[in-house]
Amino acid sequence: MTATPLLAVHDLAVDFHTRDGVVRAVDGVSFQVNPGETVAILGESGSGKSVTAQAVMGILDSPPARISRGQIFLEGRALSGLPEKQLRAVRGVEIGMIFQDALSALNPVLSVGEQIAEMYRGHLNMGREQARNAAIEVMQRVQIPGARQRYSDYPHQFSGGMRQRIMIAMMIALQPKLLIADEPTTALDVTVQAQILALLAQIQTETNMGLLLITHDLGVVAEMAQRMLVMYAGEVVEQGSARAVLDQPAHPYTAALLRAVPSMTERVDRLPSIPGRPPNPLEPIPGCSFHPRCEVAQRCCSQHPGPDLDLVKSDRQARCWFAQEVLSGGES
Amino acid sequence: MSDPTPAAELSLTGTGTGTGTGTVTGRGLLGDAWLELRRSPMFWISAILIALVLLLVLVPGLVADAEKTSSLTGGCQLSDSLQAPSAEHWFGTDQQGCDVFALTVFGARPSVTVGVIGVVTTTLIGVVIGLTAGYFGRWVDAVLSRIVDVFYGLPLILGGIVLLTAVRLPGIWGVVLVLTLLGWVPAARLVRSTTIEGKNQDYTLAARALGASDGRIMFRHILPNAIGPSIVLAVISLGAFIAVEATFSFLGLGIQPPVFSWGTMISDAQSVFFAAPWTLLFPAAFLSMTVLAFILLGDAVRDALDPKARRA
Amino acid sequence: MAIVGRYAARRGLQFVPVFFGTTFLVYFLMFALPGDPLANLSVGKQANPAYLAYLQEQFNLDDPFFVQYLKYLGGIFTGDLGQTFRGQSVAEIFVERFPVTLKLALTAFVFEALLGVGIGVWAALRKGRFIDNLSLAGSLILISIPVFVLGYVAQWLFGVKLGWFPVAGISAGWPMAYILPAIVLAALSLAYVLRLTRQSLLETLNSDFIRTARAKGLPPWTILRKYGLRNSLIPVVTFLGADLAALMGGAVVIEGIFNVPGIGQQLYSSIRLGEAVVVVGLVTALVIIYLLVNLLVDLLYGVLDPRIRYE
Repeated sequence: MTATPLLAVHDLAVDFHTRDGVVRAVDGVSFQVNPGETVAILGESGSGKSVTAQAVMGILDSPPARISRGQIFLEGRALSGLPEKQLRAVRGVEIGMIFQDALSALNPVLSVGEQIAEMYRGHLNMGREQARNAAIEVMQRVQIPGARQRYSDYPHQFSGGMRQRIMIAMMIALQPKLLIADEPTTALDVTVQAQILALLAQIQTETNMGLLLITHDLGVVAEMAQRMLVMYAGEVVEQGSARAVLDQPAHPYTAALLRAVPSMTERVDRLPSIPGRPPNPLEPIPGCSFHPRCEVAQRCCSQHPGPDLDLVKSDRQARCWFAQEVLSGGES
Repeated sequence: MSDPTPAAELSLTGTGTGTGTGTVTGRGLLGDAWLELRRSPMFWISAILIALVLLLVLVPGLVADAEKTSSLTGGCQLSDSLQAPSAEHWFGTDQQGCDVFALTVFGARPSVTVGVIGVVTTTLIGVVIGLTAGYFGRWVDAVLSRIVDVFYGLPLILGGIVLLTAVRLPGIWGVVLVLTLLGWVPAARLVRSTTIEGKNQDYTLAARALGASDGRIMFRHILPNAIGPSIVLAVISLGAFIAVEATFSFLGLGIQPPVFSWGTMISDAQSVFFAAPWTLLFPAAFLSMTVLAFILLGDAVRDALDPKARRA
Repeated sequence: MAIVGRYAARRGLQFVPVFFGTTFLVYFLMFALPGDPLANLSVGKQANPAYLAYLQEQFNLDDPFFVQYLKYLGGIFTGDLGQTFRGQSVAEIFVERFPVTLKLALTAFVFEALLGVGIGVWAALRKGRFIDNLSLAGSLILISIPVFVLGYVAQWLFGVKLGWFPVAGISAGWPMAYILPAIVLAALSLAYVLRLTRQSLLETLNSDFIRTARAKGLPPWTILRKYGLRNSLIPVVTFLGADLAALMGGAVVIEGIFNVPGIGQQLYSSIRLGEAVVVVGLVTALVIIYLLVNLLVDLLYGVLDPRIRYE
């Protein structure tokens, strides 16, 4: 990679200090996002994908969470270790973040307009009237009908899709270079999901911002992402171009996920599911953390952790001793 | 174009993490709560205090001499009036020369009895009204809710003052009547809201779809949900009612002689407080400890029943 | 703000049945219970025929119960709360003494609101630390001690022993004579407000929108004020408002102990003298004030929480 990436995360590890001990929620995660690019982090709940996003944003709840290792760079500038005051000038300005449930993520007692205008007033020191106009403008940009009239409405008066648009408006108000979307469409109806994804894609084309998409939904990844990471138990188990990973997974976990998606063309009696359950972070599994649920696992998998992310193919890395076998198995 | 597929989500989370609360039967919930309670130091402190109070209530004769509480039996001598605490009279004596320790020990029973009866009657009334209003809804709820509003508009102490000015019942019964008539409102509101919540739960709708009767739905599916919060409210109310009795007795409206309670002792001690503070402080200390014990117990039970609050 | 207006109108309409219901309840508690009301009311007095005739006339005991109630209701609307045995108007007593009670209640209210909210917020922000534990333990103790015990102990300690405040009476005027009774009167509510504020703020600080506010890069003080307090103080303000009225009722005991010549002290001595007419009249007036203040609080709630307004 020649140009400086927009976002570079290097060897990130996050610990949670709980009553029952220290839990490593994210372990050795590295990735990059370039301007205009969409990178998806795919994983089930508890895989560490949201914690990774919150660590990038610098809004981990600490305590109990703490970044114990690694660095985060925005356009080559190290964010980790910056004083809180300087980080505040990054959050919302250079990096925006939208959340899953816009109803609970918006302040119920402030009008949506005020919540958007707050960005202009707080970060750009705009006057009340100017901020109001800017807020209405950005509400129009995310296609909220009657934006001017709805400025002083409250979050509970909007539909789920409209609320997520408000959330997006608020977070793109200052034209951030990077937008982190943490399960942005999970709480929405399928038709509304598509509209929100289309809106995000449109904004991205207009502004060339990078998009870091956190999701558990393979469909969303296929629709939106150029590159993807698959996380399991706090580690990245596979990464590469989204199309290639989805077509031909190199990690047995990714492969199992893909098999669990119903096909549009073939008729099957029963969808395969992944046996077992995600590991309890309080009881780390010896060896590769996926081995108890893995169908290609051999004895060595229970004794040695998976290899470091290995280059299995050009632009494709997987953390599995049998990546080549999985890869060729997918072709048959 | 590939649609976002909810099925992928199902297969990811469907393997189950076992954290769903789902339907809980009363016993299962209370059983879990008990396991949690046993780990709470606050629970043990309050339980020990309450056990001590119960000892005084059930067998006061073991701890003190009943004769020393009455001049009729010759246990109190006017010549002993208002003596400071000593080896002979641990808590001193009151104006009649009665032993304050013995009075305090024997005063526990009426104080606690008033609270217990009050809690039982108000909880029963509250459950009946709250369950009826919440379950049947519509006009039944409208009528009952207005009645609740009316009672809510009358503070317990003010309403009690009026009632007890007009009606003098012997012993503890006046205060019991006030608590029963005016104290059920919080229980009714609580049960009504948990009933409405439970009525809309999927398992209740499922039971109805399967043809369960109203009675069965109410008692098997809805009431169990109200048990936990009602227990918490009842325990805290028990402490509060004991304090309310003391307030009425302080105003001269509460427990009537010859029955005496911590409240009447404090009331009697008013006029001699500066000269003989022990006459007031000892019953007051027992009263406060009892109220505190029930509040602590209520807190501990609430935390045990609500795992979310515990973790926060 | 047409919506707020509609909300206010609806709440106002709901107030009407509650008003009639509650005044009826007060009257019912006095007279509808079994037994001869005259015998009950003249307890402790010799059955003085003049006194019995006076009760008969004041409460219209010759009329059927509903007519009695309607006459009493008519009295409320015309400002007639009955007369004492000696012929003094209860309404006049009320008007004369109410300012003292109001002053005491408002002073207590200031202590309750400032200290309760202030310490509550402080404790929440220092959750699990020393000040948090101290305020939780202290508030529990305040809740457990009956207010009259607290009153006597405060009177003895700060009035008699230390001499910081007058022992009783209001000859020293506001604020000196009011501080001690006001603190005692506020103590119980203060403890509740403290715990409620702490609990509510802690819950709010755990909400998703606080995380959003941090993602927006807002400074901590703004987050606490516009996101934390703005949301968490809604239940606190509701409690405080309703409690202002309750403080006036609680004054019965406090005014008795500290000899503050307000409604409470009058009620306290009337109870002890068995003056039923005065007791019912004063309680009725206090209950009406209680209902009106609660109505105002409901309206305030609608202004503070937009979700309620549109329900």
